[in-house]
Amino acid sequence: MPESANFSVDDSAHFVTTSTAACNTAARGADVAISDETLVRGVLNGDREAFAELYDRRARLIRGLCLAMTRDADAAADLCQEVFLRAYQRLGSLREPARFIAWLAGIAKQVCREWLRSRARDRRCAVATAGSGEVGPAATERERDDNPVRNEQHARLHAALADLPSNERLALLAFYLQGMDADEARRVVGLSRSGLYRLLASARRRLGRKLQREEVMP
Amino acid sequence: MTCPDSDRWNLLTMNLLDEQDAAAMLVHAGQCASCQSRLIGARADHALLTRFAASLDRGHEALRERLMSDLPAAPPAPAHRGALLRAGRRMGDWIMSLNPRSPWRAAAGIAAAACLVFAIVAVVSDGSNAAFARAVEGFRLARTMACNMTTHISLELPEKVDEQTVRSRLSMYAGGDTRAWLIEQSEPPMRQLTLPDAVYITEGGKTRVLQVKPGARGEIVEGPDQWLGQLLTVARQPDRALGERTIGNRKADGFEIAGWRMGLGDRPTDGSNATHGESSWLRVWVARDNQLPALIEIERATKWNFGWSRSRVAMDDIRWDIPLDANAFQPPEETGDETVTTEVPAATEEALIDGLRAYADQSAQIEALLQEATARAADDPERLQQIEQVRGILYADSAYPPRLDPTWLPTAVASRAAGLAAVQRLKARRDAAAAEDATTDQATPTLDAAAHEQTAARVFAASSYYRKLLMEHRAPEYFGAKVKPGDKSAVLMRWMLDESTIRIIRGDLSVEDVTAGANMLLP
Repeated sequence: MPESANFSVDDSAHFVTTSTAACNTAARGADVAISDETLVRGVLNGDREAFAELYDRRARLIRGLCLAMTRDADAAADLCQEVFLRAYQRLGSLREPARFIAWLAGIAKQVCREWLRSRARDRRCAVATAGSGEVGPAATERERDDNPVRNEQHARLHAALADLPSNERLALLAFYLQGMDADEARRVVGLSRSGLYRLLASARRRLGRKLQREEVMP
Repeated sequence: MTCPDSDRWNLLTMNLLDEQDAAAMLVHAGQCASCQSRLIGARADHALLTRFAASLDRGHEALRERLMSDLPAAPPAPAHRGALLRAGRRMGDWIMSLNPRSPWRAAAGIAAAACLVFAIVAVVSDGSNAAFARAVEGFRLARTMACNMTTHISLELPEKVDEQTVRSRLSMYAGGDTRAWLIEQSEPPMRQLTLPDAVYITEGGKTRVLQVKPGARGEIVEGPDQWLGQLLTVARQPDRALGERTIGNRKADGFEIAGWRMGLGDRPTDGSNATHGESSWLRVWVARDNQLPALIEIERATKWNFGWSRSRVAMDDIRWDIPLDANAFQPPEETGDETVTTEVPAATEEALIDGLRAYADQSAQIEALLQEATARAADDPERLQQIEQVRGILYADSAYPPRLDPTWLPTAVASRAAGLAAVQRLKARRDAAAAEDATTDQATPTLDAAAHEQTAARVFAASSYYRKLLMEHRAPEYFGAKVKPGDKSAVLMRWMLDESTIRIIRGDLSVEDVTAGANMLLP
């Protein structure tokens, strides 16, 4: 089986595309772990299934990040889609494919900030028009519906996660949403093992205090 | 063992301690009440986080399917910038290493410059398509919008050109997934409110209401809401970048989308972006300061049997998310007596075939009338010439719709029905005047408003389905101008069912599926 790394950029695109896809397919069938880097290179060569694989691996983390920032489960699902769509469009600009997940997390942050800014605009419109007797833009269906996160504990958790510093939140979610694999989480946050453990410990400590404080308060 | 701090209990629950330390801690927890309490708390938090992680898998498969269908067809474009600079430097070094007297040095320099310019254009285009996508997304998220709209229309007839410029104010109010559009015009005074299921047009103090089944309204009343709505569903990449422009004192980048992608014209069957020799496009100028459209221009040039019609719409001074009076977007309390309600069949393949059949049946009615008129006017060259003009106006040369363009077909069907009614009235008057020679023609159909509405609705559904195929990127191709009803050997229409299968509708309206790449004689 040829190594995808042995293909030169002068090879025909079709040959590279089919061969990379064949490698990926065979490797998946043989239960051999394929790195994000290999999958990213596959996508750039036209292998759409490689992108589906990336989605399967990372969607949970991205969705969790979006949920933690927005506290809106429906928005998080939509924003997760947007993150991956933008990632697909910009994949050619990723200089280090091995850092795909960290790069993806950066896009998620940007997308969520845009969403939060948009919501802030809605509130400004509503306030501005309410003051003049006019009615602001209608609330979205999402706002009128009950909060989709019916579990009160999850709601408290979202609030606690949102209050964490962003690096602690990323480390914690990377660990829990990537199968509790410390090596995977290290790749996401780009830290040494001890650095990751320090972040995780700090995040759990803050989270614990926040959750306990809310239990105690009426 | 001294009591571990809370950090270590947390790390234990996450299985991040080595086995020996973890075992020792568990033994200690069995002997220390406060540590046992810490362990219970840590486990509770850990369980909560684990359940939270599991909850994020809900709907994963469906979301994946949706994502994969939303992805652009082309793979991501590779970044060229770094490579471009490196290649440019190496090229420059090589050129300068050539003998200065060598004629090849000048030629190499020119060729390198040309390549560099081409590559820069490609890189800029790749990068700026993201600006277009951001602008469209910003539009999608916007709650309100208002702009000045200038519409210039010209009708080019053989003997003269009629032109008109209309200025109005266009505003939008979005709530949930729906949008309301309001056009306010002062000269002449007119107000048009477009809601998802009805259009309210107020002129001269009276309001007409056009009610259509949801989803079909766009085929009845065409307007900026329909065009801009298409912009939100069109492919994420524009057809070409237009470069930079200064609008007011703001820098903006322009992008053009071929009109047929917006439903302005049939999809070209010759691989070009033009349709029927016409031009139509939509241009979005995205301001760099807020990444939102600052100017939108739409141009359409349509060829009719009687000449050309051209329209250019410019939406400028676009303001986003400004306070607007929601009451202005509510239906007026009082409306006039005129309410037109049309039930348009859902856009399905069955409706497509039914619509084509309805148009062909109407063509047969027209042909029967025209043949009868021709027979009666055999000795009258002037009348024969008039009959031919009517034939042209009624598009009687093409039994099937010559085009399925949803922005063209409704007008064509409406004018056809009006012409048909006029011909029938003429016939009735002639029959009444020459009562002693009149023969009963039981085959002559009578046309009433309800029948016209029903035929129009059936044909609209056909164009709706054509548009649906366009929006689903199924590459529909339609050859109605060249195919006669009943011709089972001719391909009337075809589209992609999937990557390997093409669905064909033949001239006799039979349907068959063929393998992509199979030999097929096209009209």
